[in-house]
Amino acid sequence: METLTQLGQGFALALAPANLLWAFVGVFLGTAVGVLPGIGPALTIALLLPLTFSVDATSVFIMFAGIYYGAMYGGSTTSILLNTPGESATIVTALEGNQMAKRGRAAAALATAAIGSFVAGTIGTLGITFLAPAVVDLALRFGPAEYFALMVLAFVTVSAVLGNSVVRGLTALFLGLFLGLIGVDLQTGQARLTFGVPELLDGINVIVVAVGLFAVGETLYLAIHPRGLAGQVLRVQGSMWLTRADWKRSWRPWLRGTGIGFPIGALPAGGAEIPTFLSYYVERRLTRHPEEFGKGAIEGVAGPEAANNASAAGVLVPMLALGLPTSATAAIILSAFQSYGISPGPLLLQNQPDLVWALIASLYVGNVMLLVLNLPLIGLWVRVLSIPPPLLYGGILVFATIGTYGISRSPVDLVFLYAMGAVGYLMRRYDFPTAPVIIGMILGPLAEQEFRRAMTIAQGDLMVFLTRPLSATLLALALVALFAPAIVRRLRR
Amino acid sequence: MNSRGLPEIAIGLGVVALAAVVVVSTAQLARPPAYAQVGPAVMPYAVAAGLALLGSLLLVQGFRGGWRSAAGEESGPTAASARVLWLVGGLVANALLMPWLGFILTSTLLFGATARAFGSMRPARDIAIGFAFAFAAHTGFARLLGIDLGGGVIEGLL
Repeated sequence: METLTQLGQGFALALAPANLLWAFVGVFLGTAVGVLPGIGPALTIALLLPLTFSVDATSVFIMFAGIYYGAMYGGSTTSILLNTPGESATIVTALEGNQMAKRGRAAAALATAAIGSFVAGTIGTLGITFLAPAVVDLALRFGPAEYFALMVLAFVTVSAVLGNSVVRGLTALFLGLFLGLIGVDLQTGQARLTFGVPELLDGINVIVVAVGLFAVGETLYLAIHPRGLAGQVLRVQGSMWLTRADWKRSWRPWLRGTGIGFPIGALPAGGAEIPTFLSYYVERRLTRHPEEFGKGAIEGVAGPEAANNASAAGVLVPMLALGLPTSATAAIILSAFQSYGISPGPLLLQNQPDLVWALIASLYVGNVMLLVLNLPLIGLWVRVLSIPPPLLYGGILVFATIGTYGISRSPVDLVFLYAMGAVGYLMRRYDFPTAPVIIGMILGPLAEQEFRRAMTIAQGDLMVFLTRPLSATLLALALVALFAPAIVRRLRR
Repeated sequence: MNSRGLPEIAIGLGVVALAAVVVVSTAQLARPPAYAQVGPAVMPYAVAAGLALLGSLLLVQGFRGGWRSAAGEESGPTAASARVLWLVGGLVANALLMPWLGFILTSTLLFGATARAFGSMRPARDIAIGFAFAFAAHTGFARLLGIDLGGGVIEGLL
């Protein structure tokens, strides 16, 4: 009951005219960056982090949440019409969705994706509403040792379980941990890894790293390997209203996709790729029209799209309840909390109830806006898709400059930005995942803090992590997550 | 040895070198005060150990011919080096000229160079769009959001 009262207060804040406007700007921008291939919500939110210096926290988080949800909607449009997934989470949507579009059913594919995203997003937000307070109750009993163990588990799952290679995933994570260490150690005041460069004393700004890896790195990659740019935007044909048969074939996949996506997103593993693939697999097994799969089966769009949005909602549970980001976007939203001096974690809901509940309420509001933006106004996004690449990437690099130069007005930061861009290019080219860099950079310093706290309480006894049952269990899970994939692969041979 | 693994070997070496840099830099830290159970050097050493191990594993994979992933296969032919030079040149010029010309003019140049790198052959159009874009971005960020992008040639005229 208390939850509903607080949610009501959240709605009162989220429905204030100014905040409605912020939410609209957020979902609009989010859909746009979701539609545009090569840029995503993590980059966009990183570019907008300077807003945290001048705008009130509630408004900024309402907008960031809108961008986060909006990008999930927009990505499906690109997958369906261009067959170049706008986001990694919509790769699966392209399988059936692009086939539907080629057969003149683009409108139906877009509609089932949008309505499915709405259903999943709304159910997922309900999940956040009731699950987050429960997780907080549990987490309040955590000590530093448990927190550290939980973060280790999250490190392993985001870098080793997702992606193609454990070694490359962990290399990306450790690069992020290294970047996070640079600067003055808050406990002793000593400068670490600054190499005598005064600009490094405050640490490397996450904006520089995110924008370098995602915007500059991606632009370099596409300029050097231009094949990724090819592709023709298919026309939207057919009625945006689903036929009775389409509804009948869509609603079960929507619900199943939600059921698959939300729990996986909410686990500290996060990630939207696994649930979308899983949902596709399930729908292909359960369909009554197996002959249509591969040629544009609507179930293959409805299920994965719902799974994608539900897992995006799920990721917000550990983010809001534990301060544990499991995607690059969540990590950057977390750094926005830090920029306001708000420490994320289980106390967030107690210390900042207005902020958190307004944020959750705005997710409901944003979903409704997104349904409108993505059904009647779909023509607008088709036009965004047809921006010529030379102008698009020129614009992206200028925005990247603003995001970096605007914080410090220092050309040194521009040099860092381009160095990170070169690293981003190499990572993309040689198949290293980039999200673990951001997560390691933001979560690393927090993990170190918990580690030192735990050691201080235990008076330097490392065994504290193994004698406390919960922490030992979490660390054991991390070990399993690290080695299980390799063992399974070896057994299969 | 297979020359196919060369870039991968270089990456592995780079990661090991980074580990060495972390160790050397951390070794210069002053001794931590006695009350700190875990000093500021512990985490850097742990990260360096991780980087050294991972870099060695990458080296081993590199010597075995490297890894060819889906992303590597699909990356396709490399663009003409002239295009890449346009892009890299645009970025370098952006960092060098920013303090002298100001945000609007340097961004216009960067926009034009990037468009050229992506195959546009209409420099006049690109420069015009780039200028309008940089101008709008500068005004938008400065006026609406209060982000100061510094002075410059065009900025001084406003």
